[in-house]
Amino acid sequence: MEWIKSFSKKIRGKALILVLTFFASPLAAQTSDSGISQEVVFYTVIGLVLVVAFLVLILAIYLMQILKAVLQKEMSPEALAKIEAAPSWWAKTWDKWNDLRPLEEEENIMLDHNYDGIKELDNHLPPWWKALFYGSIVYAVIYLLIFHVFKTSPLQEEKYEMEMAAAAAIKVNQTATVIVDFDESNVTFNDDNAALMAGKKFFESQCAICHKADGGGLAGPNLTDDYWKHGGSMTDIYTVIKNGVQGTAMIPWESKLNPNKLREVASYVKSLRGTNPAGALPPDGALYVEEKEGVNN
Amino acid sequence: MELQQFKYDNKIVKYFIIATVIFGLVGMLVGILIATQLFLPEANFGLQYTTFGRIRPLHTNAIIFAFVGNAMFAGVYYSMQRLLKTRMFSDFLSYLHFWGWQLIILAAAITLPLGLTTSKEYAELEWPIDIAITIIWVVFGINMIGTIIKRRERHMYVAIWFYIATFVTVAVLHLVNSFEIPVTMFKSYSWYAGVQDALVQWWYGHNAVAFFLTTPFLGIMYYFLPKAANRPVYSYKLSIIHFWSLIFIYIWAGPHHLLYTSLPNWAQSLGTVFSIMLIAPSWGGMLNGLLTLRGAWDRVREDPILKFMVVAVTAYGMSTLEGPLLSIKSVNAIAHYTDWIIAHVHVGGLGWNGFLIFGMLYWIIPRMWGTKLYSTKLANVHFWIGTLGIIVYALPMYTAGVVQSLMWKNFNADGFLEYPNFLETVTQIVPMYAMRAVGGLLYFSGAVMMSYNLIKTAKQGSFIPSEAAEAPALEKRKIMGGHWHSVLERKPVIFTSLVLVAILIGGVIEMVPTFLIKSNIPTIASVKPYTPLELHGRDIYIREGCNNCHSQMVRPFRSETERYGEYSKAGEFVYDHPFLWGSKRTGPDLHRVGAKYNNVWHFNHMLDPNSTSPGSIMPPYPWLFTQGIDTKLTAGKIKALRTVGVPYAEGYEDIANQDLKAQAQEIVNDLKAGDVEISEGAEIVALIAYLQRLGTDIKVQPTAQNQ
Repeated sequence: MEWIKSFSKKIRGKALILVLTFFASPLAAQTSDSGISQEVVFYTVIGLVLVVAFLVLILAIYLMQILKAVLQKEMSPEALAKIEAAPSWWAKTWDKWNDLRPLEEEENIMLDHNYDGIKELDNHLPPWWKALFYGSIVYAVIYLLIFHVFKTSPLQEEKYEMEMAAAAAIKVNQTATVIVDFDESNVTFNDDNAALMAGKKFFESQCAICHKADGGGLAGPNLTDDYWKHGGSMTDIYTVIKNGVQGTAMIPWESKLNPNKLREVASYVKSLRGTNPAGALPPDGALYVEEKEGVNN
Repeated sequence: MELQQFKYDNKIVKYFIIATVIFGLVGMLVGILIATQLFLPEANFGLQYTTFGRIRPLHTNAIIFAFVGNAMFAGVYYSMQRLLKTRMFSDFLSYLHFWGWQLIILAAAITLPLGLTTSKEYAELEWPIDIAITIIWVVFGINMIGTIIKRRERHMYVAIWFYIATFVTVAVLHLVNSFEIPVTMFKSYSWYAGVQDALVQWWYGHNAVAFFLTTPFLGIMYYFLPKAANRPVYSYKLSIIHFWSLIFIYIWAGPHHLLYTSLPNWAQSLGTVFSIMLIAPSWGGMLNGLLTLRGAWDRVREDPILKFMVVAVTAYGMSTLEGPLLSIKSVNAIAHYTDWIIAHVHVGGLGWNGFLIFGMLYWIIPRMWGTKLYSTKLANVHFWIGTLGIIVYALPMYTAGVVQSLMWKNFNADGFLEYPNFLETVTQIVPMYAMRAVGGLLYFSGAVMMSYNLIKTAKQGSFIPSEAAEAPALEKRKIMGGHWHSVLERKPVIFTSLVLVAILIGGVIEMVPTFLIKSNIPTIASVKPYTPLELHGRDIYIREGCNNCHSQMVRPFRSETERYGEYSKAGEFVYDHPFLWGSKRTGPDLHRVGAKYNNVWHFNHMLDPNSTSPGSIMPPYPWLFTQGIDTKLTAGKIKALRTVGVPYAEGYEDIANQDLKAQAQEIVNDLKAGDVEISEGAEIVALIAYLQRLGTDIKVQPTAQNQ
């Protein structure tokens, strides 16, 4: 397989490393700004391990070539000729698996076909190819039996129900550990800086699409002034985020955020009041005046 | 035996080659343009005629039918005459075929940018062009069968078998998939709806790959590869086995394009298992090609033609292994709708079809002009730059596909989507899109080198329009016995009939039950036909090719139902003529977009996607705000849809425009409340009506019942 050798010579080395590092970069970038998810880390690590293993393999093959060349240099011409004459393990296996016949015996299996000078040989089917074909047919039969005759494996709808049930079970466990001592009737402003920063981060990634990153409003209303379409108290804001507003683009976030996170986002929105960003939308809705001190803070 | 004198027609081959080269360059250039638009949306020049949704079909059609199609005909006309020892059956039919085909391409090049499309992938051309394709295909078929009948070679070589399979199957595919009811001169609705339309479409789409991009090129490989290598074909037995198994099994595999959709489970499973069984038959072709080069590998290093062919055959082997692996449902769950598929098809397109065509052209041109190749060195450069182009194209697309899919599916520790905003997953892979365009550019520059090289070669030689040849006439006598397949090879009519039977079985078994057995598509009582305004909006959606970037099929995965809403049910699509499930999510799925955003949001989003979605790579659609819908067409649309089974009441077409006006007025009023002014006849109003309807029917009556 001379061409493989010449090809591998052409691509070996630094170019490969450069290319591979480049393609690994989006995975790394993905983890940087949003907390590292375990799955991403897993795939990145596995990917890197494979890349390294691959490079080591190439290096090993390369070193073996050098070693061979060095060893052969010191051999007598007779010994060398003997080595050259004996087919390698690889060549023997290749011939055996493909049931190849020596090129010299080609005349014996030449058919009397001649199509515009094209002749045809009567070679056997490669044994591994036959095995592959039979194997794939067996796979097909077993597959159909499992899914449609014995029905021992779930089909997609059932699998979906299982996936959802597993997720719900995890959620139940989690809510049991999350302490929530409030609901929309008595939720209060969370002035903890970390909580506000978490709320800000979420706001900028999700809410900014409609409300603009600074809360000045785009397709959704301005959240920085004193005019509110659905009330401006902590309770009102929390409720709107949690349940959404029917018939508008404001979707319910209840299924996407747990109560503590909802409170963080609501608190951040509350904190935008009076920031007067440039280019904010004009007031919309009713004037909201802060109620008794201490209740909604 | 007396030798007969005759002449091969080289001129028709030359014509097809010129068309191949020109349309190849054009098709690749359009490809680079749309690749650029994915990281630089402004590259649509702000024109509706050059926007991604309209010219992506132009790229696929130009490459498949103009570049690869013309190359196929060049290869077939060149090899068939020589393999059958005769001139083509009729010169008139040859040239009718040539000019007819070019006119079809011209019609496609005009109608697709105008937005005249059926929306069905690789079958986008509207009904009058469909009829023209049918006629020209029959012309090709008569010419081919006629040539076979008047042959001077007793037996048909394996290349001819593949040509026969190509002709027969493409005819069947095109006829069945193009069933449509015309509304106007350039507008029609698919005869089939929803799940059934999807099944027919992907039975067609998959086998267009099989019988337009694969079988004719296997035939071409079987002629040009042994010729160029000057080696006997490795195994006649392998040819027989892999030919029949390939054409029989291929036709079943279409449903693998619809895994995890609303297609019935049994049909999906058939798609999966037949795809797996397809590995060996496909690899039979690769093996017979590569093993034919036994004893000629030393020449592969020097000869660019053989190099092109080796990479072509290897790319064929790789993509026909990858295809079945992608058909395994768990792999498909990751890869479907992503750029992985784009990488996969381009390994096949750029590697297998492109490189085999290049190898063939480098081999034919010097022979037809009686000279040597102008520059072997330049051909070698073309080979390396083309190979590099494929790698630089494919690697970023594989990366983009896997990265984006994992981001779609990633849940955080709290059990919420890590990337709930679809846009985040897009901005992450935009650099990959830029890399891909560079890959395309490299490949294109190689093709430019080839064009120069071929022109120079032709200039230094002199064209031989008719090549003299001689062969004894075929005696009329009965030959008995011989190997059973050898008997078949001298009976073209029986052979063709057997091919027809082989390719009909799979399609019939999958389609007939899906059409006839009601349980395959459970009815949902609350699903109603579209209103007249929504119908207009849907036609705008089709015209703009929204389905090229947006799917309408929420798969039953937690990551999708969390993101989009309830997964799609078969019964929801019963009035969708055609289905619009899409095959790629460059943007988010839209099946549950109805009522998710308000009208003003849609208005602003279509006018300037970046105002509502900063960083979006969707282009603005300002023309939807100035162009109006044609309410004169409403009645025709209603009547056409009623013909294909949508239950609009008799006479509804006469009052439909009243409903249309009322619904438009409602939307315009709502927009006005949001400080947005638009006339009620504007296209955007219809489009908003359609988008707001999408996927909402099952919410009307939450207890959807199955019958």
